[in-house]
Amino acid sequence: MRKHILANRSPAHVGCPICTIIPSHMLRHLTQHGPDSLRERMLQTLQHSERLRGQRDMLAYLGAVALATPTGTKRRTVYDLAHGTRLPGKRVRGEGDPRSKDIHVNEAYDFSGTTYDFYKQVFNRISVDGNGMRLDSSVHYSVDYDNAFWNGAQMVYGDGDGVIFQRFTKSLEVIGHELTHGVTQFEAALEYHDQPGALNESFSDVFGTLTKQWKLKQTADKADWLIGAGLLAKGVNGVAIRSMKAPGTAYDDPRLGKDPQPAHMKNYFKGSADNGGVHINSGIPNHAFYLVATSLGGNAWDRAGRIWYDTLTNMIGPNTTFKQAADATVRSAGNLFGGGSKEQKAVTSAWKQVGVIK
Amino acid sequence: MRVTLSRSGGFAGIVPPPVTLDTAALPTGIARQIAQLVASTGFFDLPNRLAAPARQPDRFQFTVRIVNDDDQEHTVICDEEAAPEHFIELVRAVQQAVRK
Repeated sequence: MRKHILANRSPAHVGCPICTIIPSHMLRHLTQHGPDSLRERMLQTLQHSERLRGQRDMLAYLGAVALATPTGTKRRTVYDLAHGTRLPGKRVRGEGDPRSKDIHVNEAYDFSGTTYDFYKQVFNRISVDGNGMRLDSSVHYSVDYDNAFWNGAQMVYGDGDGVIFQRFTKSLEVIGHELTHGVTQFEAALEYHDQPGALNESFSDVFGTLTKQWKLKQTADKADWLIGAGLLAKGVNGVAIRSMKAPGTAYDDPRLGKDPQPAHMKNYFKGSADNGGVHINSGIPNHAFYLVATSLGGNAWDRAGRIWYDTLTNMIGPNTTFKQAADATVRSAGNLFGGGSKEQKAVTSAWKQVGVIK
Repeated sequence: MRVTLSRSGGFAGIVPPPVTLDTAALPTGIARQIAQLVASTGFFDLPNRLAAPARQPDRFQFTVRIVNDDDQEHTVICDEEAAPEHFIELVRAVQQAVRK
Protein backbone atom coordinates (compact mmCIF):
# COMPACT_ATOMS: atom_id res chain seq x y z
CA MET A 1 0.00 0.00 0.00
CA ARG A 2 2.60 2.54 1.02
CA LYS A 3 4.82 1.97 -2.01
CA HIS A 4 2.22 2.69 -4.62
CA ILE A 5 1.04 5.77 -2.78
CA LEU A 6 4.45 7.31 -2.34
CA ALA A 7 6.38 5.92 -5.29
CA ASN A 8 5.19 8.16 -8.10
CA ARG A 9 4.45 11.29 -6.19
CA SER A 10 6.84 14.20 -6.47
CA PRO A 11 7.69 15.95 -3.19
CA ALA A 12 5.49 18.87 -4.19
CA HIS A 13 2.44 16.64 -4.05
CA VAL A 14 3.06 14.88 -0.77
CA GLY A 15 1.28 16.85 1.90
CA CYS A 16 0.24 20.45 1.49
CA PRO A 17 1.37 23.08 3.99
CA ILE A 18 -2.19 24.20 4.77
CA CYS A 19 -3.43 20.66 5.36
CA THR A 20 -0.95 19.89 8.10
CA ILE A 21 -2.68 22.28 10.48
CA ILE A 22 -5.92 20.37 10.12
CA PRO A 23 -6.26 17.94 13.01
CA SER A 24 -6.06 14.22 12.19
CA HIS A 25 -9.62 13.39 13.17
CA MET A 26 -10.83 15.88 10.58
CA LEU A 27 -8.48 14.53 7.93
CA ARG A 28 -9.63 11.02 8.77
CA HIS A 29 -13.25 12.02 8.27
CA LEU A 30 -12.36 13.60 4.95
CA THR A 31 -10.59 10.46 3.72
CA GLN A 32 -13.82 8.54 4.19
CA HIS A 33 -16.42 11.12 3.27
CA GLY A 34 -14.65 13.85 1.34
CA PRO A 35 -14.84 14.34 -2.41
CA ASP A 36 -12.81 11.80 -4.39
CA SER A 37 -10.55 14.51 -5.82
CA LEU A 38 -9.34 15.38 -2.36
CA ARG A 39 -9.34 11.96 -0.72
CA GLU A 40 -6.05 10.69 -2.03
CA ARG A 41 -4.19 13.86 -1.15
CA MET A 42 -5.79 13.90 2.30
CA LEU A 43 -4.74 10.33 2.82
CA GLN A 44 -1.15 11.01 1.83
CA THR A 45 -1.03 14.03 4.10
CA LEU A 46 -2.43 12.01 6.94
CA GLN A 47 0.01 9.17 6.40
CA HIS A 48 2.90 11.58 6.08
CA SER A 49 2.07 13.45 9.25
CA GLU A 50 1.14 10.34 11.20
CA ARG A 51 4.41 8.75 10.24
CA LEU A 52 6.23 11.83 11.51
CA ARG A 53 4.36 11.54 14.77
CA GLY A 54 5.05 7.81 14.91
CA GLN A 55 1.35 7.00 15.05
CA ARG A 56 1.60 3.36 14.04
CA ASP A 57 -2.00 2.57 14.91
CA MET A 58 -3.22 5.25 12.55
CA LEU A 59 -1.09 3.89 9.76
CA ALA A 60 -2.48 0.41 10.39
CA TYR A 61 -5.99 1.80 10.12
CA LEU A 62 -5.14 3.72 6.96
CA GLY A 63 -3.63 0.61 5.48
CA ALA A 64 -7.08 -0.91 5.58
CA VAL A 65 -8.91 2.03 3.96
CA ALA A 66 -9.72 1.78 0.28
CA LEU A 67 -8.80 5.10 -1.23
CA ALA A 68 -8.56 6.39 -4.77
CA THR A 69 -8.38 2.94 -6.28
CA PRO A 70 -10.43 1.36 -9.05
CA THR A 71 -13.89 0.13 -8.09
CA GLY A 72 -12.46 -3.32 -7.56
CA THR A 73 -13.33 -5.36 -10.60
CA LYS A 74 -11.32 -8.46 -11.25
CA ARG A 75 -9.39 -8.58 -14.50
CA ARG A 76 -8.44 -12.22 -14.97
CA THR A 77 -6.88 -13.73 -18.06
CA VAL A 78 -5.79 -17.33 -18.49
CA TYR A 79 -3.30 -18.48 -21.12
CA ASP A 80 -2.43 -21.95 -22.38
CA LEU A 81 1.26 -22.66 -22.90
CA ALA A 82 0.48 -26.06 -24.51
CA HIS A 83 3.56 -27.54 -22.81
CA GLY A 84 5.88 -24.81 -24.06
CA THR A 85 7.62 -22.29 -21.84
CA ARG A 86 7.44 -18.98 -23.68
CA LEU A 87 5.14 -16.82 -21.57
CA PRO A 88 2.33 -16.03 -21.53
CA GLY A 89 0.99 -18.48 -24.15
CA LYS A 90 -2.29 -18.46 -26.05
CA ARG A 91 -5.12 -16.50 -24.44
CA VAL A 92 -7.95 -18.93 -23.71
CA ARG A 93 -10.18 -17.27 -21.12
CA GLY A 94 -10.80 -13.67 -20.16
CA GLU A 95 -12.76 -12.05 -17.37
CA GLY A 96 -16.41 -12.94 -17.65
CA ASP A 97 -15.84 -15.55 -20.38
CA PRO A 98 -17.69 -18.88 -20.16
CA ARG A 99 -16.06 -21.89 -18.55
CA SER A 100 -13.40 -23.73 -20.52
CA LYS A 101 -13.38 -27.47 -21.21
CA ASP A 102 -9.96 -27.47 -19.56
CA ILE A 103 -10.10 -27.87 -15.79
CA HIS A 104 -6.63 -26.28 -15.39
CA VAL A 105 -7.94 -23.10 -17.03
CA ASN A 106 -11.06 -23.03 -14.86
CA GLU A 107 -9.18 -23.65 -11.64
CA ALA A 108 -6.63 -20.93 -12.40
CA TYR A 109 -9.51 -18.57 -13.16
CA ASP A 110 -11.71 -19.50 -10.21
CA PHE A 111 -9.02 -19.70 -7.55
CA SER A 112 -7.31 -16.45 -8.51
CA GLY A 113 -10.77 -14.89 -8.24
CA THR A 114 -11.25 -16.41 -4.79
CA THR A 115 -7.89 -15.06 -3.66
CA TYR A 116 -8.78 -11.62 -5.00
CA ASP A 117 -12.12 -11.76 -3.15
CA PHE A 118 -10.39 -12.81 0.05
CA TYR A 119 -7.95 -9.91 0.01
CA LYS A 120 -10.68 -7.44 -0.92
CA GLN A 121 -13.27 -8.53 1.59
CA VAL A 122 -10.96 -9.23 4.52
CA PHE A 123 -8.27 -6.56 4.09
CA ASN A 124 -9.81 -4.14 1.60
CA ARG A 125 -6.91 -4.79 -0.73
CA ILE A 126 -7.66 -4.45 -4.43
CA SER A 127 -5.64 -7.13 -6.21
CA VAL A 128 -1.98 -8.04 -5.81
CA ASP A 129 -0.59 -4.53 -5.99
CA GLY A 130 -3.42 -2.93 -4.03
CA ASN A 131 -4.36 -0.99 -7.14
CA GLY A 132 -6.46 -3.35 -9.27
CA MET A 133 -3.59 -5.05 -11.12
CA ARG A 134 -4.71 -7.65 -13.68
CA LEU A 135 -4.42 -11.32 -12.71
CA ASP A 136 -2.72 -13.34 -15.44
CA SER A 137 -2.21 -17.10 -15.24
CA SER A 138 -0.54 -19.47 -17.67
CA VAL A 139 -1.28 -23.19 -17.46
CA HIS A 140 0.36 -26.31 -18.99
CA TYR A 141 3.88 -24.93 -18.53
CA SER A 142 6.47 -27.34 -19.91
CA VAL A 143 6.08 -31.13 -19.68
CA ASP A 144 5.57 -33.09 -16.44
CA TYR A 145 6.39 -29.88 -14.63
CA ASP A 146 6.17 -30.44 -10.88
CA ASN A 147 5.80 -26.79 -9.98
CA ALA A 148 3.99 -23.46 -9.97
CA PHE A 149 5.61 -20.05 -9.62
CA TRP A 150 5.14 -16.29 -9.67
CA ASN A 151 7.46 -14.63 -12.18
CA GLY A 152 7.08 -11.09 -10.86
CA ALA A 153 4.09 -10.31 -13.08
CA GLN A 154 1.96 -13.44 -13.44
CA MET A 155 1.29 -16.95 -12.20
CA VAL A 156 2.55 -20.03 -14.00
CA TYR A 157 1.36 -23.61 -13.40
CA GLY A 158 2.68 -27.01 -14.38
CA ASP A 159 0.69 -30.18 -14.90
CA GLY A 160 2.68 -32.27 -12.46
CA ASP A 161 4.16 -35.58 -13.58
CA GLY A 162 1.11 -37.63 -12.60
CA VAL A 163 3.24 -40.00 -10.55
CA ILE A 164 4.27 -37.86 -7.63
CA PHE A 165 2.37 -34.64 -8.27
CA GLN A 166 -1.00 -33.82 -9.73
CA ARG A 167 -1.75 -30.56 -11.53
CA PHE A 168 -0.78 -27.49 -9.51
CA THR A 169 -3.97 -25.55 -10.21
CA LYS A 170 -5.84 -28.14 -8.15
CA SER A 171 -5.07 -26.51 -4.81
CA LEU A 172 -6.62 -23.18 -3.79
CA GLU A 173 -3.90 -22.49 -1.25
CA VAL A 174 -1.21 -22.94 -3.93
CA ILE A 175 -2.84 -20.18 -5.96
CA GLY A 176 -3.21 -18.02 -2.85
CA HIS A 177 0.47 -18.71 -2.10
CA GLU A 178 1.61 -17.60 -5.54
CA LEU A 179 -0.50 -14.45 -5.58
CA THR A 180 0.78 -13.56 -2.13
CA HIS A 181 4.33 -13.57 -3.53
CA GLY A 182 3.03 -10.72 -5.65
CA VAL A 183 1.57 -8.95 -2.64
CA THR A 184 4.88 -9.29 -0.80
CA GLN A 185 6.72 -7.95 -3.83
CA PHE A 186 4.63 -4.75 -3.66
CA GLU A 187 4.83 -4.49 0.12
CA ALA A 188 7.75 -5.66 2.25
CA ALA A 189 9.70 -6.97 -0.78
CA LEU A 190 11.37 -9.61 1.40
CA GLU A 191 14.50 -10.83 -0.35
CA TYR A 192 14.27 -14.42 -1.48
CA HIS A 193 17.06 -16.05 0.51
CA ASP A 194 17.82 -17.05 4.10
CA GLN A 195 15.54 -15.62 6.82
CA PRO A 196 13.88 -12.86 4.76
CA GLY A 197 13.21 -15.50 2.07
CA ALA A 198 11.77 -17.95 4.57
CA LEU A 199 9.51 -15.14 5.83
CA ASN A 200 8.51 -14.45 2.23
CA GLU A 201 7.61 -18.11 1.85
CA SER A 202 5.77 -18.15 5.16
CA PHE A 203 3.60 -15.15 4.34
CA SER A 204 2.62 -16.94 1.15
CA ASP A 205 1.67 -20.08 3.06
CA VAL A 206 -0.17 -18.04 5.71
CA PHE A 207 -2.33 -16.08 3.27
CA GLY A 208 -2.68 -19.09 1.01
CA THR A 209 -4.13 -21.15 3.82
CA LEU A 210 -6.25 -18.25 5.06
CA THR A 211 -7.77 -17.94 1.58
CA LYS A 212 -8.75 -21.59 1.81
CA GLN A 213 -10.09 -21.30 5.36
CA TRP A 214 -12.07 -18.18 4.46
CA LYS A 215 -13.54 -19.83 1.39
CA LEU A 216 -14.52 -22.93 3.36
CA LYS A 217 -15.70 -20.81 6.33
CA GLN A 218 -13.50 -22.80 8.68
CA THR A 219 -12.48 -21.65 12.13
CA ALA A 220 -8.85 -22.16 13.16
CA ASP A 221 -9.62 -25.35 15.06
CA LYS A 222 -11.40 -26.93 12.10
CA ALA A 223 -8.79 -26.06 9.47
CA ASP A 224 -6.26 -28.69 8.37
CA TRP A 225 -3.34 -26.21 8.23
CA LEU A 226 -1.90 -28.11 5.28
CA ILE A 227 -0.33 -26.59 2.19
CA GLY A 228 -0.95 -28.43 -1.05
CA ALA A 229 -3.18 -31.11 0.41
CA GLY A 230 -4.41 -33.11 -2.58
CA LEU A 231 -1.43 -32.25 -4.80
CA LEU A 232 0.37 -35.51 -4.13
CA ALA A 233 -0.62 -38.33 -6.47
CA LYS A 234 -2.11 -41.58 -5.26
CA GLY A 235 0.44 -43.91 -3.76
CA VAL A 236 2.69 -41.18 -2.41
CA ASN A 237 3.15 -41.49 1.33
CA GLY A 238 2.13 -38.03 2.41
CA VAL A 239 -0.84 -35.75 3.11
CA ALA A 240 0.45 -32.46 1.72
CA ILE A 241 3.55 -30.51 0.75
CA ARG A 242 3.79 -28.74 4.11
CA SER A 243 2.05 -28.69 7.48
CA MET A 244 1.83 -25.50 9.51
CA LYS A 245 0.38 -27.44 12.42
CA ALA A 246 3.19 -30.01 12.49
CA PRO A 247 6.11 -29.00 10.28
CA GLY A 248 8.17 -32.00 9.22
CA THR A 249 5.26 -34.47 9.08
CA ALA A 250 3.65 -33.75 5.71
CA TYR A 251 5.31 -36.60 3.76
CA ASP A 252 7.85 -39.38 3.98
CA ASP A 253 8.30 -41.20 0.69
CA PRO A 254 11.42 -42.76 -0.89
CA ARG A 255 10.97 -40.67 -4.04
CA LEU A 256 10.57 -37.39 -2.18
CA GLY A 257 12.54 -37.91 0.96
CA LYS A 258 11.08 -36.82 4.26
CA ASP A 259 9.50 -33.44 4.93
CA PRO A 260 12.52 -31.42 6.10
CA GLN A 261 10.71 -28.54 7.77
CA PRO A 262 11.68 -27.54 11.32
CA ALA A 263 9.12 -26.33 13.84
CA HIS A 264 11.75 -24.68 16.06
CA MET A 265 14.89 -22.61 15.68
CA LYS A 266 17.01 -25.38 17.15
CA ASN A 267 16.49 -27.28 13.88
CA TYR A 268 17.07 -24.31 11.61
CA PHE A 269 18.45 -25.46 8.23
CA LYS A 270 21.80 -23.82 7.63
CA GLY A 271 22.67 -25.23 4.20
CA SER A 272 22.78 -23.31 0.94
CA ALA A 273 20.25 -25.37 -1.05
CA ASP A 274 16.91 -23.73 -1.81
CA ASN A 275 18.42 -20.25 -1.39
CA GLY A 276 19.29 -21.03 2.20
CA GLY A 277 16.23 -23.18 2.83
CA VAL A 278 13.46 -20.66 2.17
CA HIS A 279 10.88 -23.46 1.78
CA ILE A 280 12.37 -25.33 4.73
CA ASN A 281 12.81 -22.71 7.45
CA SER A 282 9.41 -21.22 6.60
CA GLY A 283 8.14 -23.99 8.88
CA ILE A 284 9.17 -21.90 11.90
CA PRO A 285 7.15 -18.72 11.21
CA ASN A 286 4.36 -20.92 9.77
CA HIS A 287 4.10 -22.74 13.06
CA ALA A 288 4.14 -19.46 15.00
CA PHE A 289 1.15 -18.27 12.98
CA TYR A 290 -0.68 -21.54 13.55
CA LEU A 291 -0.06 -21.18 17.31
CA VAL A 292 -1.39 -17.62 17.40
CA ALA A 293 -4.48 -18.51 15.37
CA THR A 294 -5.39 -21.61 17.37
CA SER A 295 -4.65 -19.91 20.70
CA LEU A 296 -7.04 -17.07 19.89
CA GLY A 297 -9.67 -19.26 18.26
CA GLY A 298 -12.42 -18.15 15.91
CA ASN A 299 -11.56 -17.30 12.30
CA ALA A 300 -7.81 -17.19 11.83
CA TRP A 301 -8.06 -14.29 9.36
CA ASP A 302 -9.86 -12.01 11.83
CA ARG A 303 -7.09 -11.45 14.34
CA ALA A 304 -3.97 -13.47 13.59
CA GLY A 305 -4.39 -12.71 9.88
CA ARG A 306 -4.93 -9.03 10.54
CA ILE A 307 -1.75 -8.81 12.62
CA TRP A 308 0.24 -10.61 9.95
CA TYR A 309 -1.23 -8.42 7.18
CA ASP A 310 -0.44 -5.27 9.10
CA THR A 311 3.10 -6.54 9.65
CA LEU A 312 3.63 -7.41 5.99
CA THR A 313 2.23 -4.15 4.66
CA ASN A 314 3.43 -1.64 7.23
CA MET A 315 6.19 -2.90 9.41
CA ILE A 316 8.86 -4.99 7.74
CA GLY A 317 11.22 -4.69 4.79
CA PRO A 318 13.52 -6.53 2.38
CA ASN A 319 16.06 -7.78 4.92
CA THR A 320 13.87 -8.45 7.93
CA THR A 321 14.99 -11.40 10.06
CA PHE A 322 12.77 -13.83 12.00
CA LYS A 323 13.44 -11.95 15.24
CA GLN A 324 12.63 -8.58 13.68
CA ALA A 325 9.43 -9.95 12.15
CA ALA A 326 8.45 -11.46 15.48
CA ASP A 327 9.01 -8.15 17.24
CA ALA A 328 6.98 -6.42 14.53
CA THR A 329 4.03 -8.79 14.99
CA VAL A 330 4.14 -8.16 18.75
CA ARG A 331 4.08 -4.39 18.15
CA SER A 332 1.34 -4.76 15.57
CA ALA A 333 -0.79 -6.82 17.96
CA GLY A 334 -0.31 -4.09 20.56
CA ASN A 335 -1.32 -1.39 18.07
CA LEU A 336 -4.37 -3.24 16.82
CA PHE A 337 -5.63 -4.82 20.04
CA GLY A 338 -3.89 -2.98 22.84
CA GLY A 339 -0.67 -3.40 24.77
CA GLY A 340 -1.00 -6.36 27.14
CA SER A 341 -4.02 -7.70 25.23
CA LYS A 342 -4.55 -11.43 24.94
CA GLU A 343 -3.80 -11.09 21.23
CA GLN A 344 -0.41 -9.58 21.95
CA LYS A 345 0.31 -12.22 24.60
CA ALA A 346 -0.61 -14.99 22.15
CA VAL A 347 1.81 -13.57 19.59
CA THR A 348 4.68 -13.32 22.07
CA SER A 349 4.00 -16.80 23.37
CA ALA A 350 3.93 -18.29 19.87
CA TRP A 351 7.33 -16.88 18.92
CA LYS A 352 8.76 -18.11 22.22
CA GLN A 353 7.43 -21.58 21.52
CA VAL A 354 9.26 -21.73 18.19
CA GLY A 355 12.43 -20.33 19.74
CA VAL A 356 12.59 -17.01 17.90
CA ILE A 357 11.89 -14.88 20.96
CA LYS A 358 13.78 -15.99 24.04
CA MET B 1 30.22 -39.54 -19.74
CA ARG B 2 28.73 -39.47 -16.26
CA VAL B 3 26.05 -36.92 -15.44
CA THR B 4 24.80 -36.16 -11.93
CA LEU B 5 21.74 -33.97 -11.52
CA SER B 6 20.27 -32.55 -8.33
CA ARG B 7 17.50 -30.06 -7.80
CA SER B 8 16.27 -27.81 -4.99
CA GLY B 9 13.66 -25.14 -4.58
CA GLY B 10 10.31 -25.11 -6.35
CA PHE B 11 6.96 -24.56 -4.65
CA ALA B 12 7.28 -27.85 -2.80
CA GLY B 13 10.86 -27.19 -1.75
CA ILE B 14 11.54 -30.85 -2.19
CA VAL B 15 15.11 -31.99 -2.64
CA PRO B 16 14.83 -35.33 -4.44
CA PRO B 17 17.81 -37.67 -4.24
CA PRO B 18 20.40 -36.79 -6.92
CA VAL B 19 20.26 -38.86 -10.08
CA THR B 20 23.35 -40.16 -11.84
CA LEU B 21 23.60 -41.74 -15.23
CA ASP B 22 26.39 -43.11 -17.36
CA THR B 23 25.76 -42.55 -21.06
CA ALA B 24 27.66 -45.74 -21.78
CA ALA B 25 24.84 -47.67 -20.10
CA LEU B 26 22.05 -45.94 -22.03
CA PRO B 27 20.42 -46.86 -25.35
CA THR B 28 22.50 -45.33 -28.17
CA GLY B 29 19.84 -42.85 -29.29
CA ILE B 30 19.37 -41.40 -25.82
CA ALA B 31 23.12 -41.34 -25.14
CA ARG B 32 23.66 -39.39 -28.35
CA GLN B 33 20.84 -36.97 -27.54
CA ILE B 34 22.34 -36.21 -24.14
CA ALA B 35 25.85 -35.81 -25.57
CA GLN B 36 24.49 -33.39 -28.18
CA LEU B 37 22.70 -31.35 -25.53
CA VAL B 38 25.85 -31.19 -23.41
CA ALA B 39 27.67 -29.84 -26.47
CA SER B 40 24.85 -27.40 -27.36
CA THR B 41 24.94 -25.84 -23.91
CA GLY B 42 28.71 -25.41 -24.16
CA PHE B 43 28.62 -27.04 -20.76
CA PHE B 44 32.33 -27.19 -20.03
CA ASP B 45 32.66 -23.46 -20.76
CA LEU B 46 29.71 -22.36 -18.61
CA PRO B 47 30.47 -20.49 -15.39
CA ASN B 48 30.13 -22.50 -12.17
CA ARG B 49 27.21 -20.36 -11.09
CA LEU B 50 24.36 -19.13 -13.29
CA ALA B 51 22.41 -16.88 -10.95
CA ALA B 52 19.27 -14.90 -11.69
CA PRO B 53 19.83 -11.21 -10.74
CA ALA B 54 16.54 -11.28 -8.80
CA ARG B 55 15.07 -14.68 -7.99
CA GLN B 56 11.53 -15.48 -8.96
CA PRO B 57 9.69 -17.15 -6.09
CA ASP B 58 9.28 -20.94 -6.28
CA ARG B 59 11.66 -21.51 -9.19
CA PHE B 60 13.96 -24.50 -9.19
CA GLN B 61 17.72 -24.57 -8.91
CA PHE B 62 19.67 -27.31 -10.72
CA THR B 63 23.16 -28.60 -10.03
CA VAL B 64 24.66 -30.54 -12.92
CA ARG B 65 28.01 -32.25 -12.66
CA ILE B 66 29.54 -33.94 -15.70
CA VAL B 67 32.64 -36.06 -16.05
CA ASN B 68 33.40 -36.69 -19.70
CA ASP B 69 35.34 -39.50 -21.36
CA ASP B 70 38.57 -37.50 -21.09
CA ASP B 71 38.01 -37.28 -17.32
CA GLN B 72 37.31 -33.55 -17.53
CA GLU B 73 34.96 -32.58 -14.75
CA HIS B 74 32.73 -29.52 -14.46
CA THR B 75 29.86 -28.48 -12.17
CA VAL B 76 27.24 -25.83 -12.90
CA ILE B 77 24.71 -24.53 -10.36
CA CYS B 78 21.90 -22.92 -12.34
CA ASP B 79 18.80 -20.95 -11.29
CA GLU B 80 15.93 -22.15 -13.44
CA GLU B 81 15.02 -18.65 -14.63
CA ALA B 82 18.66 -17.96 -15.58
CA ALA B 83 19.12 -21.14 -17.61
CA PRO B 84 20.97 -20.63 -20.91
CA GLU B 85 19.78 -22.13 -24.16
CA HIS B 86 19.33 -25.92 -24.14
CA PHE B 87 20.18 -26.24 -20.45
CA ILE B 88 16.63 -27.09 -19.36
CA GLU B 89 16.37 -29.51 -22.29
CA LEU B 90 19.49 -31.25 -20.98
CA VAL B 91 17.99 -31.42 -17.47
CA ARG B 92 14.74 -32.90 -18.81
CA ALA B 93 16.59 -35.40 -21.00
CA VAL B 94 18.55 -36.64 -17.99
CA GLN B 95 15.36 -36.83 -15.87
CA GLN B 96 13.59 -38.81 -18.57
CA ALA B 97 16.53 -41.16 -19.15
CA VAL B 98 16.60 -42.05 -15.47
CA ARG B 99 12.85 -42.55 -15.30
CA LYS B 100 12.87 -45.28 -17.92
